Amino acid sequence: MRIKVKVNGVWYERDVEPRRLLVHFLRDDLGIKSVRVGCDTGHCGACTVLLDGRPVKSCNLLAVQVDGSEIITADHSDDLMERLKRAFHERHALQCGYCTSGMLMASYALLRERPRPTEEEIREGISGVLCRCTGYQNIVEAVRSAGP
Amino acid sequence: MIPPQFDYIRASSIDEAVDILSEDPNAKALAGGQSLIPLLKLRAAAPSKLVDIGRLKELRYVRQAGDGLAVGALATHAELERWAGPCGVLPEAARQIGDPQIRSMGTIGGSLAHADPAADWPAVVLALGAVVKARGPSGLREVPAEEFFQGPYSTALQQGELIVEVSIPRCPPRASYVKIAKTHNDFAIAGVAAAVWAKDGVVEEVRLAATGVGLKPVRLRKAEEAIRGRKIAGDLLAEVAEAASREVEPVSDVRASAEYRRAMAGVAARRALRRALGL
Repeated sequence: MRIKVKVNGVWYERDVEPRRLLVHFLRDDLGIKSVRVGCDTGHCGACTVLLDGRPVKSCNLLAVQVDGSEIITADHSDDLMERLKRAFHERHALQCGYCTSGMLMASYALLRERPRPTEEEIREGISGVLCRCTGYQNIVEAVRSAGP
Repeated sequence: MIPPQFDYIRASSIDEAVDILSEDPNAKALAGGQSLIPLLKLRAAAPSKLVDIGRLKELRYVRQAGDGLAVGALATHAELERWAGPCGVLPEAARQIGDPQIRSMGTIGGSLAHADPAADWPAVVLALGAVVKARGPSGLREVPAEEFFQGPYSTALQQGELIVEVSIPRCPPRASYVKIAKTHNDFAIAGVAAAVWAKDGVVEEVRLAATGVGLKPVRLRKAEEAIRGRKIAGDLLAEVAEAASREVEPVSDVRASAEYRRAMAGVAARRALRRALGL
């Protein structure tokens, strides 16, 4: 099936099998490797992207479901994303880094909706991304300091 | 993990979806996919066709209807989380489902049709006395929530039937949903929804429903009897908890033993009532 998807501002048109997962479409068909396959079961959130502004797990969606939609990944750049990336760097909010693109997307989605979240809201906002290094404290601090 | 092969059809109307689903017993409806896609990846489901109903905007709404609410089957958990009208137990429960990513895609209709015995919405719709409206080859059918759930992953839906709406006849003045789970976004070990109508400190009507503590979500009728018509007081809650624990029929699984689930059914019932009554 032919699908058309806007990813980080660029439209792509590709033929995909209906069973193609969005995460594989982004990584293997479009070469966007910041989108990670972590657990592949919908739990870890390393594959989180924004679909029309809402955070979703790209391993839990079919590429055909997002035909005509807009996707944002961690490669996206705007003022908020740059502030977040800088904050992650400055607060040492990553250890192995595997969950980082998922954490960035989950916190980007949160901060777009709530520019000044409470600690509880931050923890809830990133609850769908697992950090196996258990470095949550610094991640929460980074998200808090990335606000306006 | 890669799903098995299937044909994909994006339905452009409810009628089209119903037609395809009634012609082919191995076709399956795809709403948000948050339960179905993991099953496909595990190859626990291998439908011939997926009928994507996800874009049927006419099924995506939440609106007041008389004293109650009409919730379209494709209202997502995230949309219900943001609902600010009557039946405040809906956002309270929605917030406890999965994580933000799951809530972006997952729908109330999909959750009810999937009928996981530990899912959250089933307890809530039972406590709200909701009616599930389904469209099938022979038209619209209304199934009371109590008759809808038949067992694990098994519902009253017949071949070709699609949930179109969850109708809540009357929003309770006081209601709450409490879930006890290993982590914030896991399935319930025990979850209890409480809906209470009280006057002058006396419980006039109450509906309690539990999830995660049996093969299907259930009304806690004995626990309801323990409080119906009685004056609201702290010691009532212990009786309710005791009755709830006694009447459920939980099974052991990877998340919790039957005994623990039984104990937690009582705890969740007590907390749900306490929160609903503001005690």
